Amino acid sequence: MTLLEVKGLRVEFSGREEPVRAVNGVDLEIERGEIVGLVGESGSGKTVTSLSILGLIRQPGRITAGSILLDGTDLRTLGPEQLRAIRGARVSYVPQSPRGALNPLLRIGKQMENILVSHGEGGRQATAELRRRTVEMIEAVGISDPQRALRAYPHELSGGMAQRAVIANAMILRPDLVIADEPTTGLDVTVQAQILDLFSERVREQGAGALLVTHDLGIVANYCTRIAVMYAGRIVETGPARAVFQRPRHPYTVGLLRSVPVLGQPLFSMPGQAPDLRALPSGCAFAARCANVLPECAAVPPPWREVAREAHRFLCHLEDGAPL
Amino acid sequence: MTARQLLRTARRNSELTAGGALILAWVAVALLAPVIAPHDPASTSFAALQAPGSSHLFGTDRLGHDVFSRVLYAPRADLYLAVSGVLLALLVGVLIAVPVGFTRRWWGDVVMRFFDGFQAFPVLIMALALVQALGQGSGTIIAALAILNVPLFVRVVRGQVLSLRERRFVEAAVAAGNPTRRILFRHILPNTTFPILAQATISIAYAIIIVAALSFLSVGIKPPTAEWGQMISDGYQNLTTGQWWIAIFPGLAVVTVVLGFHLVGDGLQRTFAIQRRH
Amino acid sequence: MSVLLEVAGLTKRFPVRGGAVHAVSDVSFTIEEGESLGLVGESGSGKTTTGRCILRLVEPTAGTVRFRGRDITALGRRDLRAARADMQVVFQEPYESLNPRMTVHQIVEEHLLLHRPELSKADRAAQVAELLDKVSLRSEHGRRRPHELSGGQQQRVGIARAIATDPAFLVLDEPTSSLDVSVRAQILELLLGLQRDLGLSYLFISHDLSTIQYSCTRVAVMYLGRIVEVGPTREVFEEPRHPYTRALLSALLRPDVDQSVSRIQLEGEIPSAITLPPGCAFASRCPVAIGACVEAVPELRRVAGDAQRAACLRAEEIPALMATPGPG
Repeated sequence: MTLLEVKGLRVEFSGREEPVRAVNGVDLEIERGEIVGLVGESGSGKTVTSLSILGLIRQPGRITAGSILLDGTDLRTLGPEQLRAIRGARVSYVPQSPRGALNPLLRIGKQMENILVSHGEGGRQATAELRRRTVEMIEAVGISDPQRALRAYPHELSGGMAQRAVIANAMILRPDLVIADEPTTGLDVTVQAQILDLFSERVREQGAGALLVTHDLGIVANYCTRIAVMYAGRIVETGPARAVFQRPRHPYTVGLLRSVPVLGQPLFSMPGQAPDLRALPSGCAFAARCANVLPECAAVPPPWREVAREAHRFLCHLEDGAPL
Repeated sequence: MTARQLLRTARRNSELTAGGALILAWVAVALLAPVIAPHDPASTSFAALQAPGSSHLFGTDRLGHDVFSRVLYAPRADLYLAVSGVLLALLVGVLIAVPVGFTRRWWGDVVMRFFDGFQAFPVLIMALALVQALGQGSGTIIAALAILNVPLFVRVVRGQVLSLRERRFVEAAVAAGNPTRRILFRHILPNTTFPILAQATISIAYAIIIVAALSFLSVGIKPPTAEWGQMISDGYQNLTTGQWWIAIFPGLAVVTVVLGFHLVGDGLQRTFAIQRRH
Repeated sequence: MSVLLEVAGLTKRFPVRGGAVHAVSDVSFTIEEGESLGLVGESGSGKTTTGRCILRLVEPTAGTVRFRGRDITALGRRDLRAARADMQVVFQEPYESLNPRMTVHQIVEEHLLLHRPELSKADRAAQVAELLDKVSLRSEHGRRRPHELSGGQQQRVGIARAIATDPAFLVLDEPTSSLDVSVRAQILELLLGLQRDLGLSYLFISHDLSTIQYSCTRVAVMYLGRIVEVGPTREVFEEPRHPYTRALLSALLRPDVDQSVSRIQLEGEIPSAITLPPGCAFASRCPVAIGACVEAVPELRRVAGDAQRAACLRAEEIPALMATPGPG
């Protein structure tokens, strides 16, 4: 059975004026053993999508439609207590800032033990058992002196070490699904690569599935098996990372890839900016910025198109996507 | 911030709306007192100690004043003194605090320690001492209120300046080639208006109480000027003999106007906190 | 071409309890008219402090900064303010760098007000309109306040104000880092276009190697306050001579599924900038360090071509010792 199946997800944030339609019908699947890269710019809905899966949408936000099936169980039908039991144990979260994710007043080791205890593990038998599991986990995230790290307070760790500790926290209950939101933003490039190596290694080793939310196409190309590109609250292109990077089809994906400076290639500068989520056009939300726009694009919603034999789909009026 | 922004925030914040309405109502009463008051507030030509009724809405006091008229006239003294004293303190406080907050040199700390020491005295004792030293009169009360409040404004504004001077847009102003004075008054000061306004409203609320308290202790405004503290002082002895209206009505007036300023102060602080989070 | 900016022996120490943070140590480089020099490094490398010292937004502890031959570090307050018309800066966080209480028009106009006092109000308004047009903002944007603009538009305002007084030199401090990918390209193109049209020189500070590679003719790599390698961008990126440059390049994740680079793993932590080691600061993490590395700070010396210099004892052997990084 598919590990995670999101169908027709819609999320709105109501304000005083028109509601902000942050997510407008997202379908997303994640299988065990794969890392799906969810790519988009600010306001694309990638973070809101991931928070929806975790059941963390708060007022004034609201899921207005869709289902979120984890091994066939719709998380939207569960009560707060059942959700709490699932979060951490079956679905875990690696947020953007490790500083915010760690309790500044507790030693790293204590925080990891608390996670185990709060999900009913350890119990009476086993301070020693808890200790053994935290040491094992902290070693698994590549920290060479586990005893010292477990005794440390978060502020005593470097940014890279703190993010390793966060990953250890997220993986210690052997979750089925890990959601990581920009896990290396703010880290140095040399550290970023180490953290992502470690993250993907952990996910594969534990047979979990992962959603890696990022704006960085370089990260997706190097660490993800599949990619989903979001624009204005919708996924506009999805498929195996290899297929999408080799022949992107949606004009937005093409533009995004060419916006990354590469020596010897002209830099493509996408005109305009993302649309107002309170007043989306009836047709394609990207039409106003699109280099390959057709007469019908602005008014008629674009259809999904399949690239033969590749599980590669894109949402566009152009039959073969944007020319390269 | 602009007046339009303030109005928009007020609509979203019930504390601001309620407090603002109370203050505006009292300001209107003060301005329109000659029109709406049924009698001359200084006139003593009525029978003394009449209970509230159709001829005297709030009754009359021992000397035969119409209490209602005096309650309506009093904000002309109370609000005027409190607001003037606090505005003076605001002006002086800002002029001291902005350079003190911006400098990274030793004298900034020295000035702050001075005001810290100043604030250690109990407020009312200090006010009494100042009135004793300067002589009774409305000028003295304003000066005393200003002296009491300057340290509060210095503290609030300096705190703001300390954090603003590390902001990137201030560094940008330096990089632009702005002289220091322009950085202080064009770039830093306009960004402190919210907390200054909040402090001013809270200070005015306290100042009204101090004005009334000084009169109550017979060192404030001299009769026959209508003033709430004076009226409470006159009437409180009659509470035990059953003529409650002489002290209670001015007392209620003080409570509502002080409440108004407090509500606005809290409302401003809350909006500022929300704004800062964005 | 002639030298516009000459930085020599630039040093900045921030005093802290029990010592000092060595933020920048003995940094020297030159920038020619119309040239952009990229300054790359990770957090704590001192690249941002270097830019700030050059503009004297931070007072350098030692060293000189000569702009058209005149030593900026020796200027008095009044002369320094006047000199700022020629050397400007674009900051990383566009929103943070704009006064929230001023309109876009006021923000751009201020630079004219300060440095062109002879202009009338109408002349200034005309110039502001022209500047907004140069950065592709419409004149109605002038009436808005920073929070009413998108991140890209805010950065355009930051650029418009930086070029308002026709400066010759700009420090670009991570000008695109906090922007969305598609907007980054717009801003980068704008900066490169302005450089061509106005003959500007840039010190382009960035942690993003691709951006530097795309936009700079020369690059300097900093590690823990020192320049460890400097040279023409193409040569440095194709055949780095310092192990740290190599590690940095190998960690660069390109949007390319066929990227096959054996990543150079750096062990250990970055040394404290308060107690710097006596020798090469990178030695503690360097995969090819030898005994001599920890004895003295290696000097920045010429190793290849005319202009590529590296501060490594083994610079000549590096290409043979370490795996080739990805294609340039």
